[in-house]
Amino acid sequence: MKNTFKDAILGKIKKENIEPLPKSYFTNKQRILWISIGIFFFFAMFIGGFLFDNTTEFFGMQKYGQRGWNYFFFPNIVWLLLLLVLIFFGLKRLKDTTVGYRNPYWKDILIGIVIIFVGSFILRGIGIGPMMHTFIAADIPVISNILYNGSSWDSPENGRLAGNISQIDSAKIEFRDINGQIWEIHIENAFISPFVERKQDEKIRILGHKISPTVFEAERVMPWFGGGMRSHKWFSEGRGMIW
Amino acid sequence: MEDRDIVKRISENPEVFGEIVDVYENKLMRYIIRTTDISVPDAENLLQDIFIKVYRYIHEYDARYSFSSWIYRIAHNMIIDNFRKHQKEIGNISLEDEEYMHLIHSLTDNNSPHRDLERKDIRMCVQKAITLLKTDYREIIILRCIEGYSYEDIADILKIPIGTASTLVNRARKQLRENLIKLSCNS
Repeated sequence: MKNTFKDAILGKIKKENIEPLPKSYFTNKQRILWISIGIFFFFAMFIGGFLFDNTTEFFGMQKYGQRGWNYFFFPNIVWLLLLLVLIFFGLKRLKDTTVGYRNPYWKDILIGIVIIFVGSFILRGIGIGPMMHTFIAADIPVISNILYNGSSWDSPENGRLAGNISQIDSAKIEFRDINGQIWEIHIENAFISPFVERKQDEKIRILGHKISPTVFEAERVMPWFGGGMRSHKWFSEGRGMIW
Repeated sequence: MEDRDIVKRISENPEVFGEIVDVYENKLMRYIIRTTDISVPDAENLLQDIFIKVYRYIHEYDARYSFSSWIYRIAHNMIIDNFRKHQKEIGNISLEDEEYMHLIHSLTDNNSPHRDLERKDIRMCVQKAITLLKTDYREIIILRCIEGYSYEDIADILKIPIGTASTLVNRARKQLRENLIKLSCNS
């Protein structure tokens, strides 16, 4: 069998003109694999940042007694699940690389968590993370309305308002809520987040209490979401990264 | 032929691939027969497909690793594909004398009396016990205890962490011992 088998194989290769696939095919395949792993981890870093934003904001607002635990758990559970899905697929792809399968899972998971943790802070630090969070939390209706329960901010009787600044000075804000109603907001005694830029048309959220049908006493004034406005400021001042 | 020269030499002269076929033909044939239960003609067809794939994918081979592990990995993957297509019970595997002794030594901690182990009924029993193993355990026993691959090579062939390879070998050995006891082969 030996010689005839070898001859059969070499004969088949010759007859069917079988050629080895070029080396570039395999290097490109590996490259694509690594890029896809990078994309999974890049998005995971954003999600890690979202979790951090949500957590810090939630605990920052606790003393106002305005938000229940469901506001903390609902978006965070969704982000956490998405984060786990991204880590799962990232690691699965890693195992397909020429080196990834050699490490035990626990080691890859640990390294992945460290990368995501550090990456999240870098993205936050350079402003891209919060900007992305602001964008998806404010401008994607499904996320804005369902995940972040945007409509819950349309509740002046319960001390919550959201809308845009029409005019602002040191004592008050003229404010148009998400239904278009105009309010006078007193801000003399309010804590104003450093991430609020205090400019016309800026979208903000306010915690406080209703004094009359058109007057609201603010206790806390926040940007629409997290520190996103800071990054907008960075970009507008040319201090952020240039794409 | 040095592992690191293989790809270069085949690229220069495809006839050199015949040397690879010479070296691995019998080894891979035994591996196929022992891990699957296909007829010799089917095994030859599968082996031919394996060699054709090895030839087409030759540039995938990374000279940092063992060529033998790489070629066994391709064989392993194609055996799995073939197994999925034609899933059926595995028949008895056959072992050559030296392989049989090698396996028995790997299962026992001390020097067992060879006279007993050489008895034909016990040998049949061992073969049956291997057949009763789950497919992945059987494969790992074949790779480690019969083919004599290191844990590192097994990790490369099966694309699993080295620690997992070692754990699987231990579990497979344990299962094999239990099978031997069940089959009353512990005499």
